[in-house]
Amino acid sequence: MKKKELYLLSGFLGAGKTTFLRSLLDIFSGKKVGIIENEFGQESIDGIILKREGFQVAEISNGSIFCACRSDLFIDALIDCYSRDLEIIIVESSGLADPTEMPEILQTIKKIKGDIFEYKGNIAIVDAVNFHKVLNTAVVVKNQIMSADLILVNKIDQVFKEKLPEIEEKIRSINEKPKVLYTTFGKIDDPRIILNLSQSFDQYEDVFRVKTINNQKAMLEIDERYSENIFLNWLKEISPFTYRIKGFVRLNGQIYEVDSVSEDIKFFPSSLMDHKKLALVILGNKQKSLKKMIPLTWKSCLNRNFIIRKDR
Amino acid sequence: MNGKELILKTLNHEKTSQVPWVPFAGIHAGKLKGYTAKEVLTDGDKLLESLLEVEKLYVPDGMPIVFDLQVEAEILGCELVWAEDAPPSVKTHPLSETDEVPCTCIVPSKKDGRLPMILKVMEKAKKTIEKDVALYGLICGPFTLASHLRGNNLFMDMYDDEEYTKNLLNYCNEVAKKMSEYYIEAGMDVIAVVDPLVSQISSDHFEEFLSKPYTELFDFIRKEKVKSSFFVCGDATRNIEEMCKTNPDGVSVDENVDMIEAKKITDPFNIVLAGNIPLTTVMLHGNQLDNMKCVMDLLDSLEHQNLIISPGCDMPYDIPIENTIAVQQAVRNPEQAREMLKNYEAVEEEIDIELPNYEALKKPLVEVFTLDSATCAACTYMMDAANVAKEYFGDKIDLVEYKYTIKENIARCKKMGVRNLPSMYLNGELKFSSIIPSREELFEIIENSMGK
Repeated sequence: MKKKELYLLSGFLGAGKTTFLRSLLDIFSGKKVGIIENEFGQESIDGIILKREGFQVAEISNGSIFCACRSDLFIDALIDCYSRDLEIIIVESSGLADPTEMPEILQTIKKIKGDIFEYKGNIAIVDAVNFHKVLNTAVVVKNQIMSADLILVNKIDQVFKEKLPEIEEKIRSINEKPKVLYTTFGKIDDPRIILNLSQSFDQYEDVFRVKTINNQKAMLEIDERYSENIFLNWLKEISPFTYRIKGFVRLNGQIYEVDSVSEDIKFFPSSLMDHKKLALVILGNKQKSLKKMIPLTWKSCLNRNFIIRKDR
Repeated sequence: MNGKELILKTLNHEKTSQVPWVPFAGIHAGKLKGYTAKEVLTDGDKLLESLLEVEKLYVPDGMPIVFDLQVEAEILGCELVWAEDAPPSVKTHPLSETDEVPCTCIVPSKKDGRLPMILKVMEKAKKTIEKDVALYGLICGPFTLASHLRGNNLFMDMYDDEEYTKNLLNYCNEVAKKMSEYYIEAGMDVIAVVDPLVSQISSDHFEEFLSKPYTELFDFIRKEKVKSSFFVCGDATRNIEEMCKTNPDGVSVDENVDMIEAKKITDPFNIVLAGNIPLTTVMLHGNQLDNMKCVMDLLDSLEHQNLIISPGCDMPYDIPIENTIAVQQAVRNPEQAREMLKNYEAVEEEIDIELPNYEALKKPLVEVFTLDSATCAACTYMMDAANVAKEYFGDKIDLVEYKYTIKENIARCKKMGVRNLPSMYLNGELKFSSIIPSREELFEIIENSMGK
């Protein structure tokens, strides 16, 4: 069988990986594309949406695909994709995933199945709005940049142009090699940049690797009779303690979608009227204990106690 | 019999013709080649060069490759503060704001942090040094690692959330096992598990929280057919028996422990006792004769089976080379040393120290006596507790640290009768000795003293 092309998308929470994935799917229109979705939380919300649109999607949730307790599932998923009628495989890793383990994953697959993939490289999406903040607090961002073969500085429409050279300078201090593109909504002008992408593992040699052990997550199922204003107030209270809030809630019978990156809150009625499983995934930043702040802010805004069940 | 054979026979509890000697030259190794502590802990070439110099000058029977209890913490996200003449200290604690326990799959890999450098040096040392000298791989014990990750909150957790504490210690133990595995694979003959904070807890707490993980850890090391040592600094006397029950091959103690009393505990367990030349008063500030006398006192007062002579802990950077050589000479040639000491008189510098007038203080005075809060883990946490109080009370209290590395402070300790380090005094009265107070305890006694 011919080698299949393999692309890795990395980037911190809310940087725009899924939006860029859609651009890639447009670039690969007409090709048979399989997707591996990795979610840090328990639900792959994006995976659900993509499946509904007819794509072949494998989901690996509840941790990073590069983590020792998930990498076997990742390897299985890649091998399974190879056996299917696909030409291209795109892996969207979770925002907290450290892609510097990718060479080991490919080595392992090579041992099991031979040289079955043409690994095109790691495309790292950088959030221009939150870059400096997350770079200082999340170790994994540095490693995502360090192991990138192409870097997209996304959401440039939301920052002053004067900030961009500063961002690029910082990126270059971490990794000089890859091309850096500036995008809005992950749109690339020249698809050849993707089609001609090739990987280099040289930069992995210089990576000083550390682990992130303090990722906090909570998954809530909210089906309540509160008004959207009251719920929005709660989102505003809790968002400073989070990197990301993503998912669906039902308020007074109406389903709403939440898609927030730190304090940039998007909250709107969802078109998915028949969504059976409500899930709101919250990924906490390092500031405070999420398990303490959720009930605290819930009580403050909604005047009701909130009990979190342990989720793993 | 060469040094390596001597160490292995000793840790196998066999009778030997000589007592072995293990200099714990961590950052001090760098001094021998003019390298700073940071250089020797981060540059593999400089580290190896320094280790070869240790072998040449100190003729050890066993020696550590790296003595840095922050290697694991750094990999797991702790920021370190580096120093020129001391190991780094931990500045941030990634689990201080969360009560989540990391997944046991998130343990250091061989490519993380400084491990690639350390493992490479271990492999090279094995080829050059290892034929004659037993190589020690030192890892951070699970309790000290838990405190690096969780910060001072850990001491409250032990009272407020026992289940969380046990789960966190279980995670840290998995890290310890992984590190042991890497070092054993790299050829280390002895795995020393260094856990300074063990001396800060009661034997009940040791039994409740540490007995199980440590027994597992030493069983793990034993299954790999490698020797083990349980290394605790500070006054660990109350915990030595519990430590022995976890079944290491050896126990290492520092100058806070009476070796004679300790050996009475370790001998029935048939466990080797290593120690305990005082680092500061003798090795750093003494002269060669002081060091020889110390060794001879140990050799003359202790049964030689199941005994290793070593410094009490990681040797201070600036220890005069001749002092360590004097120790080595005394261990190897005790009769010659005895001859030299016939006319020995210990030199004691008379330094006049004026103590505060404790009766006439305008505000509470907290005095913390430490070995050095920058390098001794237990001292760091004692000082942290004091700093938290100072931050809370502000100008209403005075706070002073007296580091034992300064001669005047040694004189102050003698004048005040300070027996163990770290210790905390309030208005001239001993309040906490080797046990770190909780925030509530400390605040209460300070507030009470304000009322008087």
